[in-house]
Amino acid sequence: MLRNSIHSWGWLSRLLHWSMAVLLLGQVVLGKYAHELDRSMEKLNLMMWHKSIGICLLTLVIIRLAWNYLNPQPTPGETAKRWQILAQRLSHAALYFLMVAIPLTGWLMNSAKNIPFRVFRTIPLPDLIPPGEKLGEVFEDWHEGLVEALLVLLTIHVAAAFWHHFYHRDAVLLRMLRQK
Amino acid sequence: MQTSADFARVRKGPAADSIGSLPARILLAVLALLTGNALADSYRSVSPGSQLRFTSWFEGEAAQGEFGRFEVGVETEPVTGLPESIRVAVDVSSATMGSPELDDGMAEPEWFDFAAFPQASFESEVIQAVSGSEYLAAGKLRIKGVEKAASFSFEWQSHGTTASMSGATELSRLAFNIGSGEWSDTSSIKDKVLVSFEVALIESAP
Repeated sequence: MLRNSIHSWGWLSRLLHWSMAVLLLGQVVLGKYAHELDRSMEKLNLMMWHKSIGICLLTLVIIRLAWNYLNPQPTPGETAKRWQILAQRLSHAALYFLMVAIPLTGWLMNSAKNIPFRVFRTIPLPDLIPPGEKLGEVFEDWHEGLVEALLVLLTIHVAAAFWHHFYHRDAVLLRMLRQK
Repeated sequence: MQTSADFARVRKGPAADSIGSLPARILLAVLALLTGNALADSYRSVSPGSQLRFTSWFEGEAAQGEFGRFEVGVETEPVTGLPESIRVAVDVSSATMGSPELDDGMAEPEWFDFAAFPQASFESEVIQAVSGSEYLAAGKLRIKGVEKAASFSFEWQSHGTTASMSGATELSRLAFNIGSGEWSDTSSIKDKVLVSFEVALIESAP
């Protein structure tokens, strides 16, 4: 099924979840690795890929938010406690916020630093703000800080999924993997 | 942008040596005095209203830059007032692309190597009238210690004590070792660089 129901995730939601999971992890590794490199052709190439994938992720998260809005969400299990539902809502909201804010601060940083860029060397991207050295550094700090926050939240997210699967032995993890 | 101190800085250095040996210069000066032709430029560029820009292609995107300090001298034929020779001196380290990261990169040895080659210059050898106010200048262009024959068309207009010239030309960065080593790969940064100029000049004191 394409669409979600209150019992299960449709294939589009699952596809978005896992494709973004793979791309996000790749992005963090790629970004951290390329950031450490000295000015070189390799750095230029890797940064071009990092920025291009970042724009793809921003596009994907917008599609995902729209899809979530148009679809029901699978409900928590009947045994779920109030604090668990609250924790789930808060952490998911924070994850979505970061999935928007991280590529956006990257884009803002690139605009402020005035570095010529085209998505996959082909699609031009407008500058969000005029060049400014100070702002470039501010957005760089934000971009990096938000990534650290994302890593903390993702650790909790993965731990919670395993906790559901191995401790509670419920379907929370499995329903993201397959149709019921 | 350009002050008289900058001008003095631009005039010193290796570019000035390319004019010729000392005896040759003395001979030229004597000849000039005999023929009543001043050796000094007829016109000299002034900073407000003068721009020397370049466009390069970086990751498929046009990236603009400019040289903040440069000096143009034009000698004109005394009777007709038409341009006879042009010399350009550029303070290469005044280059900026409006991005700290790119500007830092430009200073490095693989790129312009500001420390070793602070000057670029052009000396015309022949100036041909093309049509109306359009001319073609051919001469020697020296960037990063590499001298190459170069020519460009330009428009020249003189209005008594002031004059203006403008034009554009396409250069190969690799011909001058701009972006050497791994940077000579043109997949990210094209070889082609477009240079354009708009120069406001005033008549020099005789």
